[in-house]
Amino acid sequence: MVANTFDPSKQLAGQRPLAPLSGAPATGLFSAGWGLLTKRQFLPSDADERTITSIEALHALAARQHGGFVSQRGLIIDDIELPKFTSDELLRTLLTLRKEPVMVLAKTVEPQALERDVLPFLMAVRRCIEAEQLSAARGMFEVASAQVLNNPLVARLRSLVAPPVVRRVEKQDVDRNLEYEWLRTESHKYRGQWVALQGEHLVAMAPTLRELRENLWTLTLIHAPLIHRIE
Amino acid sequence: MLVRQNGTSFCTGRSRFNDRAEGSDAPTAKIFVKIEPHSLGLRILAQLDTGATWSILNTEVARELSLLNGEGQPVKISTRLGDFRGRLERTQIDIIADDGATLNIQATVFVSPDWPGDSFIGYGGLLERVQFAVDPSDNSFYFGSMQ
Repeated sequence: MVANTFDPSKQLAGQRPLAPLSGAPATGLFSAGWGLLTKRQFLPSDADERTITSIEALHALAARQHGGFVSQRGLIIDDIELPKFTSDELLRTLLTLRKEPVMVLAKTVEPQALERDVLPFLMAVRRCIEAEQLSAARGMFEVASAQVLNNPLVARLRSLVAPPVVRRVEKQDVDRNLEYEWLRTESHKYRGQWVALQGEHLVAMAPTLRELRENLWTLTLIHAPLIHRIE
Repeated sequence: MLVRQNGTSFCTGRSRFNDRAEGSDAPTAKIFVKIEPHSLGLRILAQLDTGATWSILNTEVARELSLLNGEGQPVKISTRLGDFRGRLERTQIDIIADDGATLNIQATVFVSPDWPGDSFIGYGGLLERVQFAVDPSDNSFYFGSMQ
């Protein structure tokens, strides 16, 4: 499924801004779900309505009815990854949709604008990122229109390429010279292991970090150990 | 701590770095600094790599931080270990100080379930807003915020 998200045109394929219905938002993460609704590809039956008691149940039903499945990131239908429905507003609307199945697409101007402006912008920024041209990618956000910047995919990408934010915190570690010395002299015996060191002592070791953390939870230590994976 | 010629402070923290890749056969010295990825609650060593566009988190570390199932930007990176597909994710990383103040950095890092290496601290998305200096005479790593 990761391959789908490489192609921004697929991400946007499910996004079709719609005529406002019951005050539901017609942009952002909701629009992918709305796209399914307007195409009348997901219509809960009477029996289904009674079983829908949560967003999760709604996802499962939509996936089952449409031959897709629910992933951690969203609904996967026709190899397209749709963001999860997250709104009670959307749920309520879904439950009434069967009784009012007629929905009208919004003016065509907005979808065209979306694809005309946002899609090329996303592709260009992603090309910059792939080419490791971080400054160029950031520069593109500075000159983009508000309409483009308001798109949720664009906003998410913008936050990812934003410069790091640094702040000081009053936290200190102890001197780790003893741990470093242990690594120099003893680590060759523990290849492939995660080790937890406190001073010159090996306090825990495990083949995985998860197991090491579980081991550490059972120990009472004076201060946080230094963790390292021995190659 | 280090100061500029005009008397202003260059750094706010210092830590002792490790200069060897333990267990590896790499013949040259490296710089491994202490970091604490947010919410991991453990101090780990990460190799300083100012030539790297992105920082990389060890796969198991990324998994413990629940970053492998994120929704970040998919990218492919080229490394000495080969090409890897993964995602860029925003997370917080502390550069731990032995003296002075630790730096908390909201950074962008690369994570991949396929990455076989350790953690790296790269320039883009992390060090680019950190002033830092290395003193090999006593393995000191000095750092401070640009802001």
